[in-house]
Amino acid sequence: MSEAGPERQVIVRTIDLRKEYVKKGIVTEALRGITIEIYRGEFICVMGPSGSGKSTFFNMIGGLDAPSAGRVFIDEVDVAQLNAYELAYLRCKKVGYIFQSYNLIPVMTALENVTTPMIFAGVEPDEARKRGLRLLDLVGIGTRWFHRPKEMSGGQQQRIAIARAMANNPSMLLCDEPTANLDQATGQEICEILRRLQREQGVTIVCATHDHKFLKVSDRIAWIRDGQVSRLVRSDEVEIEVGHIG
Amino acid sequence: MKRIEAKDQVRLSIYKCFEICVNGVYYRLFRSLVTISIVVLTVAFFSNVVTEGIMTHGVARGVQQEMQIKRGDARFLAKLTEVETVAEFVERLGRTVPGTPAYRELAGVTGAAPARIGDLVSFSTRLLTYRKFFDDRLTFGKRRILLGGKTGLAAFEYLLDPENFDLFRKRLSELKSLRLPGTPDDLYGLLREYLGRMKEIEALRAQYEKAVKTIAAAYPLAVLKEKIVAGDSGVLNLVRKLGFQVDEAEYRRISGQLADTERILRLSKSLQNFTFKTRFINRFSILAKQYTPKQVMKKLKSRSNAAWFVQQAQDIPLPVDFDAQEVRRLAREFLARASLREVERVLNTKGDWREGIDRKTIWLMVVSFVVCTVGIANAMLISVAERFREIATMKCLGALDGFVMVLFVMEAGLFGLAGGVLGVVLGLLLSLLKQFLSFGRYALAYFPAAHVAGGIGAALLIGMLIATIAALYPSWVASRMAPMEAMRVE
Repeated sequence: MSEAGPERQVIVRTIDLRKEYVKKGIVTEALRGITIEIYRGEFICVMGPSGSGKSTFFNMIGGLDAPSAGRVFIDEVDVAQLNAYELAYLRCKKVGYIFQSYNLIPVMTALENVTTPMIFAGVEPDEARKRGLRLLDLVGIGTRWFHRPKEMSGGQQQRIAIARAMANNPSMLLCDEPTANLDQATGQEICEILRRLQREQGVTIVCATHDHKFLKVSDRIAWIRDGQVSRLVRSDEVEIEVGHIG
Repeated sequence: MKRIEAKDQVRLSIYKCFEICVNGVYYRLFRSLVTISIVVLTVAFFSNVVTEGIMTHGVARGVQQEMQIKRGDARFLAKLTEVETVAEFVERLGRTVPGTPAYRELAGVTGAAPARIGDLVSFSTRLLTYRKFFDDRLTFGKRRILLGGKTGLAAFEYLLDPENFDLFRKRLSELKSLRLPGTPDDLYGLLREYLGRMKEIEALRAQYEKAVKTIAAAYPLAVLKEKIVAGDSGVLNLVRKLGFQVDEAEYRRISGQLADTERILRLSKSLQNFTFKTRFINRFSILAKQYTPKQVMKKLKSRSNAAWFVQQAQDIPLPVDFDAQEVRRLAREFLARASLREVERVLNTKGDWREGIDRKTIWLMVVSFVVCTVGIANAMLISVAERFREIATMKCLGALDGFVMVLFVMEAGLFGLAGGVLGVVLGLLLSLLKQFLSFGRYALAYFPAAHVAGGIGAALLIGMLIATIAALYPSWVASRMAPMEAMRVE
């Protein structure tokens, strides 16, 4: 698995990715030349302290923000070349987002939350409902599809969020600290769901986290520091290291 | 670089947007109601002012028509026995519409050619426009400056002096806010015709005077009344010979009305009888000052009281020989005429539905519109700020800018619609209540439904329009929100 053979497909490729923010004349360099390849079907963890540029990197590879310099390819498509409609299509169909604060739409029930991206993608309501229920079953809350997010625990909300991210069968899940708001046991469950999705559905998972639980399930780990990739290693190497430190 | 499957995102149908929007409004019901209440107040105010104006106008027209019919006998008598002054005659000419019986009568009595009458009527109409302007629109001070303080026809005679007219023209140009009904040249043309036309009008009036004198010679007033009450055909024949337009059915109606008037007069006179007054006060144990014709007539409407009156009339005796049924009928007729008169006095308006809407009200309306716009814009901005995460998340899930825009504009439009409906209901109820308290049953009898519906439609439209316009900027802000906002952690 960890052997990156030449036949492996690249899903995200960044070339010398740079991002600068200018505020009141002061230029802040958030990313200072990141070049990385993420392979289809792998589970990659992105670690790094706050302010390291992790979130900026996420925005870039999720097609949420445009880089100042460098290029991002998602499925061999240059994101910079896409117009607003194509970007919306990309966000809808290619990428699933999982947020630290779940970001479920409070107005909607669990099922409606899951079917919303399908409706944006133009799926028929009946079909969307069927698929939504199946996805909710997959994350283990199929019986509570009619509840609103406020009536559920954090772990359950995050499960809905995962189901929603999987709604349009994306090639990649972008998880931004998915377990930061959860306790150990619930975090572990979320971790396992993500792992299962990666194994069974073959979806690529990119996960920004501080949570050491993810070290065990991921294939590779990238450290970002000061807007650059400081280390990029296979997880089996890290486990030895962690064990060594611990 | 190959572009795999980079397609345009689909646009959502309006129905789907509507569904999502309604869901949101329902979820935030209380907040939505607060926003709606702003629209309710504005629309209620607007619809109240407008519908009240429309309704007052409708009632005024209805009551005037009814009054004209009710006063048919008095008008007929006046026509046959009284000579109008020149000013009154000009007014009549100016109000006469070609093709109506009144117009034919003008030709019939004066014996003048229709073309000549047409000329004089149009001249009088023009003259009246200016006279109305001079008398009603000018303040006392301005009338002094412009017209030497003259009113009525005297104002035109004053302007006939070229020196005065030059002065008038000069001062008018200085008073910029004042706008004549026509140009000064138009007025000048009218003045040049004035003397000649007035001579012709005077000649027509003299014909009227002759006709009235002929009638007076044939029948003194008291006899005339008696004959009309009796439906005497001699009077009808004479009157028609003189050129007055009255057919037999109308004459019969007038005859009946006059008979009623005379009988009501006799009834009210006998109520002045001291003995009867004392007995009445004792029977109903009321105060002496409560003994007004209206109060007494109200009592006489009932069967038992009417019978009691007939008994008293024979006992005292009073100079009336009505039976109980007749007393009741006359009392009802008296009250109907009295309430009509009352309503007419309250209305005293001949203008259109804008009558009650003065500058101050318009100013208030504009202010309320602005307040409503700002209020809704503010509420929507807060709503956008509050829902930034929701909006950004939707964008992450593939929502287009247009969808977000439509979502918010639609929400405001719904607020506008809901607020508009509630506001219209509230405003209309208030108007109806006020009208009912002022005019009683006439408010309902002459309810101008079609015009009120128009006013309501305008109010609804304004409510929705204001809400939608107010939401444009907040919606734009929402639609421009970056999807990465969803990543933000508070």
